[in-house]
Amino acid sequence: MKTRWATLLLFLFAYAGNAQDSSNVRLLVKGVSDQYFISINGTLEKNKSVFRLPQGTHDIQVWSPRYELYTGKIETGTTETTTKLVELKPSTDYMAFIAARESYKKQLLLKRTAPFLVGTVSIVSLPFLYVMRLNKHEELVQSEFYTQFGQITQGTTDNTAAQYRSRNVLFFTAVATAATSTGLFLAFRKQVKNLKPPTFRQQNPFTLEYFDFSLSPQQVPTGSLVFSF
Amino acid sequence: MAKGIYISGIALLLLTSCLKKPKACLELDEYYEVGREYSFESCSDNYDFITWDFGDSTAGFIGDIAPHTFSRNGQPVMKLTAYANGAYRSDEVKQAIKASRRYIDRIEVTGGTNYNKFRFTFDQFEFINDSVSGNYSAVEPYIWRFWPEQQYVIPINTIRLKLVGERFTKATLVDEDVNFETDLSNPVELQGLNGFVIKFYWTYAL
Repeated sequence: MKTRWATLLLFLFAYAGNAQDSSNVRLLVKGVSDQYFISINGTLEKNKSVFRLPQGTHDIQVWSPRYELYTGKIETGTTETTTKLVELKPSTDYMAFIAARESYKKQLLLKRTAPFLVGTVSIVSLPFLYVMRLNKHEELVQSEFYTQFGQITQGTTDNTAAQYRSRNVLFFTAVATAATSTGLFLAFRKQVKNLKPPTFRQQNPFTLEYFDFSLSPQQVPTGSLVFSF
Repeated sequence: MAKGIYISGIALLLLTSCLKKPKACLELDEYYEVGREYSFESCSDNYDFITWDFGDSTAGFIGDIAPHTFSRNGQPVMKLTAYANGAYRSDEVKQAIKASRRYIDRIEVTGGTNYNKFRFTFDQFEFINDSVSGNYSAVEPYIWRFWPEQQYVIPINTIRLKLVGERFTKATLVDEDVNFETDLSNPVELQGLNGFVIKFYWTYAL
């Protein structure tokens, strides 16, 4: 009987000791929604968030494109599940790239896109405004002629004159805008030509592959992989 | 940059040369009858529209063919302005005309006569002349003057002209309707009885 009880106690102790030898580790990476790389004790674990680690202290490194490498330790205790929160900080170089990209886009907008669009709209609208102005001037001259003979009232002519003035303002504003925009576009042409779109290259510390970020023709940052062997 | 300015200059020159230059033109008669409706036509060229100022303080007109009736005697200066390119370009021409009614000037009677009195009826007016004698040929007709002492307006419609000769008896020598609305000849020649011919002359007042 004593032997049976001793065997049972030994089993229970052994089981309890075995249960606390390893622990489930839940890793929460804050601030990163896409891919990230995790290295635990030097072993790469890509996009994995739950690990089974033996009890003790482990080295952990987390990296994601556009972020700084996180280096830390994780300690698995006696509990069944350990949760580790890792917050990745954006790379300072990437932040500089973002600032440069915004500056580049702003320069393009001010020195090329805006003058081009405004100039185009003005130039396209010019013929219409010109014809509208001609028609209204013709109407005004006829109105003044009839007023001279009392065939229509002075008020009607005044009204036509006001409409003519409005069309004049529109027309000459369009002329000035077209001239200014075209001038700016031409003046900045060389400057815009010399503008270099900013690029950002980052190396994966685990796989040594490169991530390149630049402006696509649509000015959207894109990522690409360059494998280095 | 210089190339751009050069091209812009050329384009501007071409654009300017494409603009229409209106040429105003007016060909008018010397006289226009008061009360008659006229349709004035212009000989202008290269225009978009024309304004007509008839110079008689009546309503103006805009259009190619201008209807107008002069209402009183005078010497108005008609002004025509031709406009083009949204009325930014114009050319005008002025011409003085004479607007007048038609008046009876004289009648010339040709034909052998033993009458000593003529009775001339024009519309509701009757004129009598008793200093008639002898034969009147085409070379030396009997001339009966009205203008300017007697100022009789010729209405613009059909008028009956009648010439009656008197001595002891009366004889209607000429009796004919003349449509003065359509008949603008001067003189109006009327053939009567026994080779009698009346030449009816009219005149403008101015």
